[in-house]
Amino acid sequence: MLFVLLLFLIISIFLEGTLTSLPLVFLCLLCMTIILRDLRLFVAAFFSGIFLDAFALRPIGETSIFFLIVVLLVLLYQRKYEINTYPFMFIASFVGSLIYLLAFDYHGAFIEACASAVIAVLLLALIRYVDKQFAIAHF
Amino acid sequence: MSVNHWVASELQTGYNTGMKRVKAVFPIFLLFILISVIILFFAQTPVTVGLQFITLPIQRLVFGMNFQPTNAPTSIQQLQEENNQLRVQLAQMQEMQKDNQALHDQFETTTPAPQKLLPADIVGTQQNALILDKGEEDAVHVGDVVVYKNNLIGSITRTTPHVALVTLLSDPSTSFTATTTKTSANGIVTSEDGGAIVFGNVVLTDKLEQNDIVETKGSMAVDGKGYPQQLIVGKIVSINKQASSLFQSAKLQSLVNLSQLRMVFVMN
Repeated sequence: MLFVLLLFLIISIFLEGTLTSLPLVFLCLLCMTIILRDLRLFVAAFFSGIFLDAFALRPIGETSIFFLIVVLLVLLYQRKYEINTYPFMFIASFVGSLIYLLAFDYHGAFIEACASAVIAVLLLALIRYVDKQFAIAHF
Repeated sequence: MSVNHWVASELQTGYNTGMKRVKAVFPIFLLFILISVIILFFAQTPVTVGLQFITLPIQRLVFGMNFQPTNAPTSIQQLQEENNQLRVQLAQMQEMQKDNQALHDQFETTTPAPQKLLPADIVGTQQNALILDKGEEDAVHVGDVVVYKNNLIGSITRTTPHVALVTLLSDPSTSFTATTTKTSANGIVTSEDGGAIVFGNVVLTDKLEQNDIVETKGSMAVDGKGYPQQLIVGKIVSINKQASSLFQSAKLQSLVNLSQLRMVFVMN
């Protein structure tokens, strides 16, 4: 599962750094946080942010700080509430994407945040499906 | 051991592990935040240069995979290309009629002058921006103008040693003076939030015509930065003129299809 998530993360870094302005890395990281709930997420958040900044010609480190804070908040939130749900994914991805897009001065942030929320839910469904197939194959 | 005891012991183990992890969250978070802040404020250049040795080839590869050159253009594309070329030629002809013919014959150079152009490959796209594979080490500076043929693409807004960011005309920060080639109407080129390029602040007494070409009027600063004259911004596709308004405006369409571009030229 970790391998699949990392693969998604790497692909999303390449895509966001080269072709699209949608916050794919953020969405992927959110999915990873919801599923893994692990300290290794901080490593993923740090390095994905660093590479994304290098790709997008932003000051290196600022995206990492944003990702690290998001991972921390989600990990703290999951102590009290269930986070592995579609409504949480939708709301968290919408709010997070909106803040991310506004913070990094993207135009049309609201529309992109709506699109991001839909993509995030689909991504979570895809990851769950892949996980299920993987579990069936190895049972 | 009964199943209930086993489940209870597993839950306890899981809880203990979870508590340890929760306690470890803050030190690890703070460690990475600290590293990020150090990079952000104290080690920006070396880390950027180091990372771009990795990211630049990847960007070239990914962008190259996405870029589909049309080796066999369709008849519609050929006609569009031909149409664009004819419009450019028409604009140039009209410009020549207005200026002194002899002076043009003497210089007989295309605009911009070829010796000032640095070819650069596009290795990435962002919202209203392109990433080029040339940077400070190739003498690319902030403020340099980027063109394709004699079409204005945008200007350099950020540079690193090996990479530069071009802000396109569709970015809301765009603002420069321009003029139409046929009717010599003066105005300011800006961009709406949706990405449309607008030729605005044109007084009502000036005439705007559909399909007329808009080109830069020239707004060079003392240091040589800024837009030179006669770079084509686009053609007028719609006109907004109301008698009650002080000014009229027009929406422009670039003659260059950015999605088909692989290489541009930096004027420096």
